[in-house]
Amino acid sequence: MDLALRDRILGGDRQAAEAFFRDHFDSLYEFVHYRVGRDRPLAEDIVQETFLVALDKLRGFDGRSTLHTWLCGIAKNKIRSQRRKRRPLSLEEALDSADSEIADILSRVQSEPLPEWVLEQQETQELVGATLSSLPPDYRRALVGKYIDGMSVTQIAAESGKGAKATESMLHRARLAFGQVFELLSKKRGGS
Amino acid sequence: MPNGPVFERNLELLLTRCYVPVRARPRFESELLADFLAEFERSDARWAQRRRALTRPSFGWVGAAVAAAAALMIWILLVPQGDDDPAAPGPVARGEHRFSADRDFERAGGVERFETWPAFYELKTDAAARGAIELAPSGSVQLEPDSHLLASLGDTRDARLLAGSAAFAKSDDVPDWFLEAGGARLRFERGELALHLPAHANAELEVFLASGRAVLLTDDGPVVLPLGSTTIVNGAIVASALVALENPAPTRRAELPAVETPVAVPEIEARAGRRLRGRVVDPAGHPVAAFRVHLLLVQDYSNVTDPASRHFEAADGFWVWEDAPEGVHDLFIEAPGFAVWHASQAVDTRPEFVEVEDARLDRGLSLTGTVTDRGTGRPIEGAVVVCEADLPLSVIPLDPAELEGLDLTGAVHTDADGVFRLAHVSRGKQILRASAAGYGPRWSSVLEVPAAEPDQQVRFELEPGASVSGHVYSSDGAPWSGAQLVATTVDMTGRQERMSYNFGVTDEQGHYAISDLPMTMMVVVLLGDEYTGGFPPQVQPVNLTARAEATIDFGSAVTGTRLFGRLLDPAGAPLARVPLSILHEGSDPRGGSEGWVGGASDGEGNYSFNQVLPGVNQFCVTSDLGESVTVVDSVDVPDWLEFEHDVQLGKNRIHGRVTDAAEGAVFYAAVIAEKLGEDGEPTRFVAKAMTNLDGSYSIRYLKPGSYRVTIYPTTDQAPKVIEPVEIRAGAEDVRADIQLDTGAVLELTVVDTAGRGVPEAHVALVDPKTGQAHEQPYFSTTDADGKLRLLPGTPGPMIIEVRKPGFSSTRSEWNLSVGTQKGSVVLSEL
Repeated sequence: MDLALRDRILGGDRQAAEAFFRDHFDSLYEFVHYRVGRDRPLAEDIVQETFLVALDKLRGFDGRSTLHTWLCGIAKNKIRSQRRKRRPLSLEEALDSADSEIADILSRVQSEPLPEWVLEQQETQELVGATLSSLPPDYRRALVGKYIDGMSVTQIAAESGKGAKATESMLHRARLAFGQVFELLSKKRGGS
Repeated sequence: MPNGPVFERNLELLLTRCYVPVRARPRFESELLADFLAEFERSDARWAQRRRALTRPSFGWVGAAVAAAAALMIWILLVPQGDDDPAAPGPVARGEHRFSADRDFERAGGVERFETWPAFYELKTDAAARGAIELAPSGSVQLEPDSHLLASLGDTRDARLLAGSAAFAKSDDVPDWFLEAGGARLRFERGELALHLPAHANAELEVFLASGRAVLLTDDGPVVLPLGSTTIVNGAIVASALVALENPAPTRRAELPAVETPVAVPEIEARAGRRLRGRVVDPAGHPVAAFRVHLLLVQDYSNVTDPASRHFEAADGFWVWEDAPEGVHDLFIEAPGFAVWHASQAVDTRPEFVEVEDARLDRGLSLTGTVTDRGTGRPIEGAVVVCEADLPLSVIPLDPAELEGLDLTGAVHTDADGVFRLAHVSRGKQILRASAAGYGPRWSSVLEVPAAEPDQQVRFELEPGASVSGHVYSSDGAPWSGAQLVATTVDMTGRQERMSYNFGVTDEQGHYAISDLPMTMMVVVLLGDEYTGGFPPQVQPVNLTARAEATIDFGSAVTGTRLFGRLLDPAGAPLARVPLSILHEGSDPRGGSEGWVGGASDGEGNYSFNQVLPGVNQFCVTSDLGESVTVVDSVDVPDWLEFEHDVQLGKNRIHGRVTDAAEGAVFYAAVIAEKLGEDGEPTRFVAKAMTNLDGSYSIRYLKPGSYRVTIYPTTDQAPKVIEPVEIRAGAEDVRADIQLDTGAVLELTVVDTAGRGVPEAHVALVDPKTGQAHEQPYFSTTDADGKLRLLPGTPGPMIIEVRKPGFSSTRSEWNLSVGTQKGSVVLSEL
């Protein structure tokens, strides 16, 4: 599907170019946001550069990853490049100031109940956002749809164009992925 | 362990209570969308020009293919083929291929060049260091873009580097095919090393330059690396720092280039444009007012690139090219009514301003002729005839439509009567090529074009061409659609400077077909698709001399077995970065066979091959562009998902020097080692090496046993067999110096009953004892004039068999004496 979109853009289809932008803008912005220490001007610079580079290099997109992953790869390079110039915080560094006790608790998200006070911490919010921004867009949409927008599996399925069974399966994988990434990031910031 | 209900509850809490969506400023989004779409419009204008190019690979790609093909050809051609029978007669057919010292070592215009033949890489000093270059093998490096091609050939390029004090270190995330360290460190001195870092490599590379000069080729132009440490990310320099030198190597020459002041963070600056100026005049010295100038970059490998072209109109004949591309170029000037003016390596735009010599155009000579169907005798309309030397191209498409699109005066089409006319062919030795849709191409013999001889006639009779087809599979076994493939000729006879190619693209089933090919030895190169860019091409040879249709598949729909393990030295220590190939049973390790997969051990001595066919596979260690190969082990791979096998190299070596009767060094002879059985007969091929300039050779990684060593020279010496060469247990090196005798050379002409030369006739040597024909599959066919030079052989009786479709095969007996002799064979039409 991504390759078809690429081909349409390279074929001069303006609507396809716009769809490409709209489909990926939010997720890319969120991805960058958490990796530049929530520095808005820098995030905007990098998102802008990423889209322009993507257009320039679109011919090189080979479909071996999703367009989202490919875009995030470009963004990561831009962030790394910026980091050398301006020393913004890395994702790990950005979350590094967190309380190690909180990190410890959050790193056991898959096995132990979370205490109420931890849910009220700013760091927890950051970690949830960073985790979601790291997931593939369809996982992210499924989780947000189910838990935040309160959609049923049938509704998510209808929106994503998948069958109910496939959507259930995707939700399951999305939950697992969330847990793993969340735990990984928690450990990176000091959890055991 | 995940606790399902707990985790589910935590997840719900985290998402419902802690998730705060991040939103960009709406204005930012709308402004960026507008910018993005404006950029899209600009890009689309560029893409529109490239859309046509989607149907054909760029010349650069084809050039890379030719480089790979040439490397493969060395592998294939310099080893005698199909000669397993020890009683086989000695002469080896190799066409007219020669090596000359002048070609291998070339000094040009203040630039000292070291080249292998053909030239894949070049290390050169700048003008200030002229004469200071020294050849001292001290490491190896793979340079983009050839390296992955060579890796796909089963060999890493083993560039000979200069001893010195600059080191390159590889970081872990650089793909192996990109930069390969052959030893602990790679050292350069006084060299100018050009590295090309492809943007797609997504690589971070630390370069440490202790002295001398290194140039990084980036998309923004060449950048001189500062001394010290530099970090290169995705082809751009992002940081550098001066690092104190530890024991810098002593400088040997006072005239070394001055060390530039290092800078902390060098900026990549747009290079000032190079300004070229020249003048174009007619034979009487009067200015020519309108002309086109083509610059063809002379590259370090294969001399293949897209030409830069510009049209000029100037009453005084002067032309000025601002912002000319940088580098050494061949210069072509085309003007209506004149022959193409061509000067090789005439323009070096590295200085800021270059005054080019006056181009005095010549009217040239008119060449006319016909192109007909050999079978029916009917004229072929729309065939394209090119004068190869008059084209500012290094690789020439076979497809007439492609040439038409290039709009070059050195290419013309035939009319309804099959007649063509090249109005202004430049003087000198010329080769014409005719091609047409549905036919294989044909080349003329070498034409001397003197100005005085009017209307020289050239006749081409075309026959249906050969074709190559097959399937391409991705590494996961799925059909790969949209992959581009090039089938290219590689001429090793020296008669043709330009390569010809045709190409194909795979369909949704991964199937491709490339037709209208010449019936000769070719290589098929899988370039990947338009979107993969840096996908390492894969190369396979295809012999079309005896068959009109060949099938070449890339990849496999079958997963096969993953074969992995460690490569160990004789003491059992892992060997890093050593080129290692495997060949499936039935493949000929001496080269050119299908079923041959190349790779190398990694930094820890581990190797891995995917999709290995079950059965016996041989391991080969290769070096020197595949010229040297040693079969070091074999293993019977079971039909499992994975199979582990460690390969341990032998510690013994056979080495020596090959000389001629006058004790002069014999250069570039193939030295073949075969293992002898208890009965004294060869049991299997073991190794091949080539002699160096001083005639020396070395075959490494051998184990104790009895060997036969055979020398196949490319000069006029006769082959020679030395046996047995014994390596005893506990010994390490065995020396075997070999003196060759002058051989017998036969210059054969194959003619039909009317006395006309018969091109592309197949010549085989027949064992007088067994009557068995030994066809030499490569360059065993006659040229356009029906000639073939068989060299060199052991004097004595021999039988030659000549075959050609449409003719009766014939065998003739010869008794050759020392030296060159001529002879002819007559073929009767059926």
